Amino acid sequence: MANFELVEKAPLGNYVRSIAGVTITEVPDLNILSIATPLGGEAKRDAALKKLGFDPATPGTSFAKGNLRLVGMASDQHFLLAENGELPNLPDVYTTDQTHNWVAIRAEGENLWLAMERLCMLDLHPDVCSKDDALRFDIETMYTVMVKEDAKKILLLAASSSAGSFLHALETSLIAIA
Amino acid sequence: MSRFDHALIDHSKTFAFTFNGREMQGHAGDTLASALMANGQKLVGRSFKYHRPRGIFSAGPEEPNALVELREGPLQEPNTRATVTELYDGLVAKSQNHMGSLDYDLLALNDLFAPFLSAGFYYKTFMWPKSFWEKVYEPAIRRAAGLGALSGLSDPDEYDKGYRHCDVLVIGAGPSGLSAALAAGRAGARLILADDDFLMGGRLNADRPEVGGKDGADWAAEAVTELDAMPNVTLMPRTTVFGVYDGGVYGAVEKHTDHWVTSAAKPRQILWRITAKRAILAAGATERSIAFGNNDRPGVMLSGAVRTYVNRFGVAPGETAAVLTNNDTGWQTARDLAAHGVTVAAVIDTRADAPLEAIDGAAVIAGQAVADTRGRKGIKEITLTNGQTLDVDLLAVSGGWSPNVHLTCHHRGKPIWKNEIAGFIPNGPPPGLSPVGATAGDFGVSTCLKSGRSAANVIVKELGFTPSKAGAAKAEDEPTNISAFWHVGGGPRAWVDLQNDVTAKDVKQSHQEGFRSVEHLKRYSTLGMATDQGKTSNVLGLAILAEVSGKTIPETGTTIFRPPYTPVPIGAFAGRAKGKHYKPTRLPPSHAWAERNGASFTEAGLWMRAEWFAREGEQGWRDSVDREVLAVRNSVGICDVTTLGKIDIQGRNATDFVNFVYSNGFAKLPVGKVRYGIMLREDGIVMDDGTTARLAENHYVMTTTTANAGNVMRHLEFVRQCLKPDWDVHVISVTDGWCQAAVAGPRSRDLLAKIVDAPFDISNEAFPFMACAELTVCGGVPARLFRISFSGELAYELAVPARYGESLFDVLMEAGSEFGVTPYGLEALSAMRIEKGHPVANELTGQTTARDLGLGRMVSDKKDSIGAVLSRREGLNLEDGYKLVGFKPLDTDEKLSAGAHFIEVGADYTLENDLGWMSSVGYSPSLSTHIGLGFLKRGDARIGDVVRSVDGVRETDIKVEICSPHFIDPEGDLLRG
Repeated sequence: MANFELVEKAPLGNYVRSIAGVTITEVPDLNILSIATPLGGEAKRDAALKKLGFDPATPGTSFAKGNLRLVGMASDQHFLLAENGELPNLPDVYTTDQTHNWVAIRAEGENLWLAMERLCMLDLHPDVCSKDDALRFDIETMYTVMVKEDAKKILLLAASSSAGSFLHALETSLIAIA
Repeated sequence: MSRFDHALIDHSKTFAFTFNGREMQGHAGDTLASALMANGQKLVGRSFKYHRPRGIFSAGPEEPNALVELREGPLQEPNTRATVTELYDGLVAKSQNHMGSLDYDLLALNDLFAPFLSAGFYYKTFMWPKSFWEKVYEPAIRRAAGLGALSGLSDPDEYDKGYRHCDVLVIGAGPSGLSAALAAGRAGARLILADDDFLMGGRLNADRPEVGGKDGADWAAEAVTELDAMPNVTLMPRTTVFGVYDGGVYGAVEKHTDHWVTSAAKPRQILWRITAKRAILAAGATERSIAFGNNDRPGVMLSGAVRTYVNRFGVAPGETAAVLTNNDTGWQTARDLAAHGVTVAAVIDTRADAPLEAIDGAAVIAGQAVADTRGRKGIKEITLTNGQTLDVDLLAVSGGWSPNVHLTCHHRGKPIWKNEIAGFIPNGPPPGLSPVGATAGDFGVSTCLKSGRSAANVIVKELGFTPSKAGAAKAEDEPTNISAFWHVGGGPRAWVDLQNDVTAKDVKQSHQEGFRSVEHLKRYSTLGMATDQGKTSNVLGLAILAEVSGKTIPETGTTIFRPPYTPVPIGAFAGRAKGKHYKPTRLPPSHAWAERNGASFTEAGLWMRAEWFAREGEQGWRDSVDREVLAVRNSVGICDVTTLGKIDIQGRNATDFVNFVYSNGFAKLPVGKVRYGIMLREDGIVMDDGTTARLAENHYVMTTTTANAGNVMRHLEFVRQCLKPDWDVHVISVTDGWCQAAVAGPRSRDLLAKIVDAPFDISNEAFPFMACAELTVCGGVPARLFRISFSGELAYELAVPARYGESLFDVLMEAGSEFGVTPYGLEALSAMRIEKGHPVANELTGQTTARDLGLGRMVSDKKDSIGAVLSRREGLNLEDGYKLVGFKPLDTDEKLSAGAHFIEVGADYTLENDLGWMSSVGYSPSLSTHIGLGFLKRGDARIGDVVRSVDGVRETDIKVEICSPHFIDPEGDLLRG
């Protein structure tokens, strides 16, 4: 039998570009696990998270530990992000590998918030949006998850099928403020 | 023309521009209007209806006359107010609404027919014949009377939108606004200060009063500098807040690069959505005119505007002036003109006692008004009500000031009359919006400064900040007394609304004809419509209406205002939503591969899907599609079906859940099996269909149609969260996570056998029809395999993680080369599913039932499921109801089209005789004829009958034979093979 090989390709082909003092970088090696809490299974979920070093994250917040980040998505749902690392096996909760559903883009730089105010209708002022906050909103009708990793650094998740349009929206904002 | 030295323009920076092709020069800091004035251009436009010569009337957004077409070609923007257009080097402007040149407008003939063109004339004059209105009269009227023209070309400029948030939004940067902003900013509140002007300061720049011991303009500049240095303050010049919406949301439009000759790929305008905890409205007041004979000539200007041109722009609007006023502020104009060397012939005060000190050289004429003017293209002479005449080339008119209450009306607040100022003041503004200063009817610089500061301090305290102890800047309140005087009756036509050519006589006539409500007056006479929205005319018009009605102004009332406060270009509302930005594009993982393989694409919702793969020598799409269908039927084809919705369902109640949302039974579906299901809405109508695979005891993956993926996901969340909150079940979309390829045709098993990893057994015995499995392919890549068929052939759907998707198609092509594997697109897929009788969105229209689709038996009566009860309604189960049928033309050379209706042979093509419709039609290369699916009354009883397919649009009338919807392999032997 002939050997056939499947080659993995990131949604944006490992995109990197700096515009207007902001660098946007695709994060191709970000594995994403959706963790849903079984009805009445909060204790088991908490124990499972504890093994990873996390307390449960309320919606809108996240915790980082090593290469892992736990994001509170809903009252009964978390996302576990593993950058350059394997996803753990968590038998006591319902998990779905979401890695390929999303394109992950890191944006960092001086004018980041100027660009974001053209895209995000939520208040991103540092008094309101703190480090490690995790927000969900639409960018040009595309569902977006934003994790504020640092004062001038964010991680954006958007649907992988519309990765090109999402990138285009980001680039357009950066060009507009350049 | 020389400019006064102290003006707020940069004398060292000269800009060249053209008006109607004439080259002119201005300076940085000029508006187009001030630059035109400095170049001696008095005539700037023609009036709306009578085409009378018009000049610059105001110095702000209220301008009714000086509307120009700005820029050229596709960049041309009509109806741009010269008074708020910031001058830039290379500006090109043209006057509008004239036939021939501006100086010799042929349509000025209209003025001779003025007696026939009074208010509402077109309602009376152009009634016969009726059919002429749309085709003859209206186009002719629109050509003769109107505003500027669009270029007709696509606007190449970019527009953007943005979102800002603040504790306090201050609207307007005049004395009240700056004072409020300083107080809020110093207290540490997050502040946005927005002003429509490019130079903040408002009337401090126009009147130059002393503030804080210095020129008011200097004080304003220092205040702006202080605010700009505060990290908690965002200054937004060139930004008009045009609307107040719910929840403290304000709409604003910023002229971002309007003052550049080209926008240099930057957004020309930005539409801002500002969310403010509180807002201070410091929008000032707008001066209004007095109606007297021929008060519309170039050279008749608002008095405050005259001060603006003299004090701010350093240009004199005339050489010999007179001032007509009913209030104290007109006197300031006379003083400022005299101080700049302009001869002031007279101050004409309608009040009997001239209250203020006379100006040197100017006659003071009290208790009189202007009755008439002379001068066709510019005023030359005025005649007073006492018969006295004066030679002037400038008449500054002040009829009083109307507070800019507009934004306070956006939540239906109805302004109330304040007699002391003869104007309406805010009443019931939107929650969180505080009018201050002149907007609140408190005139006077000192009063405004204090009003702004005081309001800001109250607000910041309420928001938890400590108000600054700094007091308001010191200033004097100039006198602003007024005795209302509206119009001079009995003489020549006296204009009320310059923009719409509405005269005092029109207002009276409207009343005589029964349009006695101020709202009716507006609509009948057009008073207060178009770009200026009656900013200078509304109060004057309703005052005249009140007079003829024998009522007071408060009894007469006022129209209220809707957004936008000033015109906002459609482009700004559209923002980026054009071309590529109109909507996102979703691409399946195979998109790049399909492009390389010659695919044409079609939109399916947001998705781009390959519709066919053309090969060299093919003459048209049908050649490609027919080849693809036959390849699948004879060997093997591959098609990307990633776009189908995929929903992961897990939980202890996952089986209950799937069994509840589908109308057919899923309770006994074994692990490792797939089942086709139909999903009903609560009302019993079919919502969607698809297959659901049971991957594990409590784990399913559901597929939906491409179009309904989002709807079904929402529906499942609703069921989970609202209908069955006590069930342990979770759903999550995995549509984007998996690339799914249909591998169809008699050699599909052979192809897949080459890439599935051992020991997986893909034989018919081990992996029969409707089986599913999680496995690995190509040496360890996780995959899911489903033995399902949309084409009716032996077929599989293979899913791999999406990032392997592009590569998967390369591998399938390579592995299938020995079988002549053929990629096929949406059209071939559609042809094959019609051949097989599978419904899609054409059939699942949101109006069809399972019974209509021939799937009535799939609505189980042995269990509870959504929609089952209501699907049994009598009206959905009529004996003569529609049934899905197949059909084909009697003459196999005939071409059918979807959308045609079924009519009995010999019957008329009428609604009463309509038997149903053809929902899907395609050419079947397997049967060498067009075939289709459609809904026919009592269709199941009419198999073998001949009816007509009548298409009123394409004008075809073709006999078709009704048949089973399953054209190919009705017993399903192929797909089970």
